[in-house]
Amino acid sequence: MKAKQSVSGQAKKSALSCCPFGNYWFESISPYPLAAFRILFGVYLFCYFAQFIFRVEMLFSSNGVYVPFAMPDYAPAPLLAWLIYLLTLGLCALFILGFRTRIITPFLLLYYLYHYFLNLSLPNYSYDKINMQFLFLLCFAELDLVWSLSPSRKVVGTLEPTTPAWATRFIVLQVFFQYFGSGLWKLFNPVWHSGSIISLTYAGPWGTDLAFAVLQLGLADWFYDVVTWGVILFELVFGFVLYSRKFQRFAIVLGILFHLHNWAFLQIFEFFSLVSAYVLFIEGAEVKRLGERIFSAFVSRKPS
Amino acid sequence: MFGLSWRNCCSPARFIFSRVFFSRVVISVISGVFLYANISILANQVFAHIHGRYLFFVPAPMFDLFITFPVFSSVEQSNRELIVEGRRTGLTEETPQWVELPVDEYFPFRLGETLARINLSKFLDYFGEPGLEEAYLFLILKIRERYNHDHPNELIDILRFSVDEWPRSYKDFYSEKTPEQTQRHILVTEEDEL
Repeated sequence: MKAKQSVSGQAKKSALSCCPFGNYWFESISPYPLAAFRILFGVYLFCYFAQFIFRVEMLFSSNGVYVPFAMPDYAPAPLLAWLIYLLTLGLCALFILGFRTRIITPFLLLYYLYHYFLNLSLPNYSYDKINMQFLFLLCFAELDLVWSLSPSRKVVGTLEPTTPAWATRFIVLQVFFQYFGSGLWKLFNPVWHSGSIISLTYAGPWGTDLAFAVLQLGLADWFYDVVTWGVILFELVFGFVLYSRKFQRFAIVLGILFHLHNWAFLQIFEFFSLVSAYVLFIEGAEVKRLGERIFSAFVSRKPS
Repeated sequence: MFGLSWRNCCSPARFIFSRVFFSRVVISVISGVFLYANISILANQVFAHIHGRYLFFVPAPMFDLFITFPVFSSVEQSNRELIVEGRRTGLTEETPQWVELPVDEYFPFRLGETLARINLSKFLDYFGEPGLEEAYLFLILKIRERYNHDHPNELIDILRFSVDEWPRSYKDFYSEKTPEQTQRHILVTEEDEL
């Protein structure tokens, strides 16, 4: 039986080798980047939903203030709203732990859509769309092969586990399109050709105390011009640089700093879902090594 | 395309009915849709800038889901803040008493997000003016219900949304918000809608 499976696997592999694009999409790669992304994105989703914990009744219950989009009014009573909300947090936790992700991930998407169409769709934010795109793609992916409470299949012998590449590469492409598209959009938008977009945005309703503190330094206009063009250049090239093995670490640090800036100066932390996907650009062996080092550090900290 | 070849695997008939083939068809269709959406929206941006029109057809729901690029698309010289007011009941028409409702309570968000929410732009995009009015009425109804439930001795019968506008400043968000410099615009009133 085992021999038959092995032959079948070989046959499938050779069936793919005749088609270069099929190879790119369906070839077997390390599952560690995808598992790391599952954990990081899960933590992000948990934090994203946890921010509503003191506003559940107001946002998601029939006693609250909301407008369902393209749906009848389906807001439940406060108790049920709390139950659904806590269930969503629970699903996020199970997703992080990699518990039966084939079942958990579609449910998590369903609960995301539930909250989205009930209230979260009102401001029509990009990050909600990105999160839903990621969750939709992950519904079809093998997320729980490693670093999981319930691996979907056991890895036999000393062979390294593998998973089809399409999910990893697809999310990588989405990340690329997100940054490149934003850069391109800014490049063609005259508003983004002057530094005043940065300074006046700092001074607007999104600006934090830190942003106002920087504004009060009275920096020259050319400084904001440079920052504005720097943002456009960063977004245009970021996806390419992330692919580059040589500059990858530099790009990851730069990307994290970019989103930390958006959080510290403009209160926008929600695009950290993109940061969680940086791990998909890294080589599987490196992710495995890094992940095992982190896990072993956690284990060794346990009281003996 | 997309690794759907059956060669060296088994007979074509067996391959077509196999789980591998089915899953690859599904993934290939999803891939095609995602790639088309991303590339066409990107290309449309460039083409619209050069030729003033779009190159590819993108259905509205697809456009809505994949257009994730535009952020901070305008330079505003003034600050705005949402004001929610309710008219107390039991008073005559000649002496209406409008009370300001606590906006933070009904819109517990960042200031920028509250303003983005009150625009209800998604309703306007999809359902036009009638859909927007309906959404505003629903929002007003929910706030009024909530307020009257929490304040049974200070009931309100009519609600309106206004926006205060004042010059933007580098000192502080509210530093220029003085009575002389602040203008109040009524965004939507229940009376108008009804």
